[in-house]
Amino acid sequence: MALTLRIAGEKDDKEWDDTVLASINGTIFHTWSWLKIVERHTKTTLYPVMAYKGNELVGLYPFFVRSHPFFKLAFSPPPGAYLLYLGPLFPGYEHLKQDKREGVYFDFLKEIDTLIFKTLGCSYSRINSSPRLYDSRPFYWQKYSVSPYYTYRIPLINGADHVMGQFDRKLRVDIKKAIREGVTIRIGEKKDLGIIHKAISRRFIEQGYKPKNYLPYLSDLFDAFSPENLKIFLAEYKEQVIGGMIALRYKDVAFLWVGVPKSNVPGISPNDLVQWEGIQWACNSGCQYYEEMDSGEDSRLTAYKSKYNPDIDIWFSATKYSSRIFKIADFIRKDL
Amino acid sequence: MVLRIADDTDQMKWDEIVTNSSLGTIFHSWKWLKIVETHTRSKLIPIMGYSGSTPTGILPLFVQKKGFITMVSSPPPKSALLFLGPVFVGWDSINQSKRESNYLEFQKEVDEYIKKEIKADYVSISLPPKLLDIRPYLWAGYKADVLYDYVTPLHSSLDNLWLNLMKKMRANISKAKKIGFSVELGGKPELEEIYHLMVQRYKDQEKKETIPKSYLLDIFDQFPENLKIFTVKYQGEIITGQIAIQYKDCFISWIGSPKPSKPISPSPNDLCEWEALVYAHSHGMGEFIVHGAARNERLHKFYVKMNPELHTRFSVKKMSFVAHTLEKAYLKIIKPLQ
Repeated sequence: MALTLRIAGEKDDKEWDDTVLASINGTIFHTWSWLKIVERHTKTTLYPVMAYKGNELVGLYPFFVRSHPFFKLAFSPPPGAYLLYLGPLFPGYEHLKQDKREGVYFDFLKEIDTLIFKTLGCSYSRINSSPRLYDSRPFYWQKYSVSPYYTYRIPLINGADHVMGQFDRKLRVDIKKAIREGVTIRIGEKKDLGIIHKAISRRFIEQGYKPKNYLPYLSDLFDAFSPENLKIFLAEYKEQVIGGMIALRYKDVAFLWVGVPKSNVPGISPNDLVQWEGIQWACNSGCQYYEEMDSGEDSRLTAYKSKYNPDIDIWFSATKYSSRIFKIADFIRKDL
Repeated sequence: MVLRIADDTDQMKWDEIVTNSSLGTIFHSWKWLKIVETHTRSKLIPIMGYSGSTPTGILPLFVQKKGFITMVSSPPPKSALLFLGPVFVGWDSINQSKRESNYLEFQKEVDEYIKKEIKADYVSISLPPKLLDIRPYLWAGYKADVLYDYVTPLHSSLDNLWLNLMKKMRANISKAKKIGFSVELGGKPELEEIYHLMVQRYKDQEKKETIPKSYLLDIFDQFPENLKIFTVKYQGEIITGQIAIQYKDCFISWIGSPKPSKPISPSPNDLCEWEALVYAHSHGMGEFIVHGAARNERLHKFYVKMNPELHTRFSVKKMSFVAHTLEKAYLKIIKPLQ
């Protein structure tokens, strides 16, 4: 039976969120509120696609279209939203037989490809699928280029003490040292988003990038998701904020989402203590995993994160151009 | 980390690493590699990485000269192998940071060796199924390809495995038995017969079989305990069959299963695949594996009928501009004509 696609509206928010919950790779970033906030702050149009087989909802696919005067680009997730991955979801995917999984997934991808390139006339599509959806074949077969990326997940099933016991020895020493030197962790409030935003902007400038004003985006997310799903951790030393992060929690996974670059205090690693507090919070909240969100591209960052003895988890990025001309134009643009 | 090229005196040490590491496969074993070397006209460079006097990893590389291009591969073409690549000591028992630093250091040293000593224009490495981390290769400028295998866990009862098959496959198997197809275990003559059927099938498709028969016979002679030959007979004649491999707790449906040249219904290969799985189950194997077919848009439909799990695997490639251009020309012009 062929699939029918429908663009979800505001009235579908509950069904949408229930489906995100019921999908093994559904994340907080797929939830209706998060997607609508992203749409507001990224100058894009959200296409929240629902796929039906008869009357049964079998898949979700949120993507964003950015329109320029001469071309349109489709993304899932869009740039400028501090998101690594998004992509399609399939409720009950893990309970389906493999041939049924493939049937729904492959058909859905084909329909989406037609919607993006033929119906909407996009010149480019980039889809980053979320961890736990490991089948990238339909992208290959729709002529996408596929690249693997790597994030880290720390299993929490044996409790916080066990997790700490698996850390590298030096990391354990650094955490204890930070406590001994008087670094404390405070749960941040909405007004602290300003501190986080400033620290991130400073790091962008140091790296030669022009910082974007993420503050209104972060404020909207704070209003929608705190305190249940979003928590700010700040490390303080001599009444100064010297590190921190915005952590998220959804279903059985807690996420180190936005890290605050540490201040230069010699001999102290405040963010190691921040992570440890985050891990304990995740354990106490009943999470099974703590994800140190990553793409695996920067070997310096992975060396820092691997100290926590996490497992690797794979996600995929798939890109496609409508024609060779756009591909060449994009390479030239990137080169410039 | 220091690299050393192994020789015949290292065979025991090499095989011990292959046996004890979760990444080691039968294709990594010393004897298999030496047979591959003989039949693929390539030179085997078996690299061992040492930290002090302790071996930390191995990587069998094969070097071939094609005109003015020097190619390094693991495995080499025409070896009927879909993967080989590095194997690390204690991969499952060390912490992530140690695993990553060992791997990264080893990869960097090997890359230096390939660049300076072999001066390769083209490097292609297909990693073993359980080595899912390819970041060291990506950081070194390699391009990745994502591959897939179908794996059926054999821990549940045979009744459950039977019920897990797609309805159509169950019907095919029952019908095949009813009309008199029978599956038998064979030896060398049956292996030769399957090979003959494979060559015939390729001929029907206007293709050439690229694996030499002598290679398969040598493998059979050296690995009699591991190779299992299944044939399907009908009216006293072998109509298809497959060569399977039993190693550690895995049972690999390796090569064969040619479509019979005379039209015959139902497909005897469904029965052959099922009987191979039954054999693996009854011999205490943990997994029944079909490598490679899952990524093939046409073939995957045949193998998905067993309701397997989908497992990811990777291959990586790096090449000079000239090698890249030649490869593109080969894939776009020469290969379609073959």
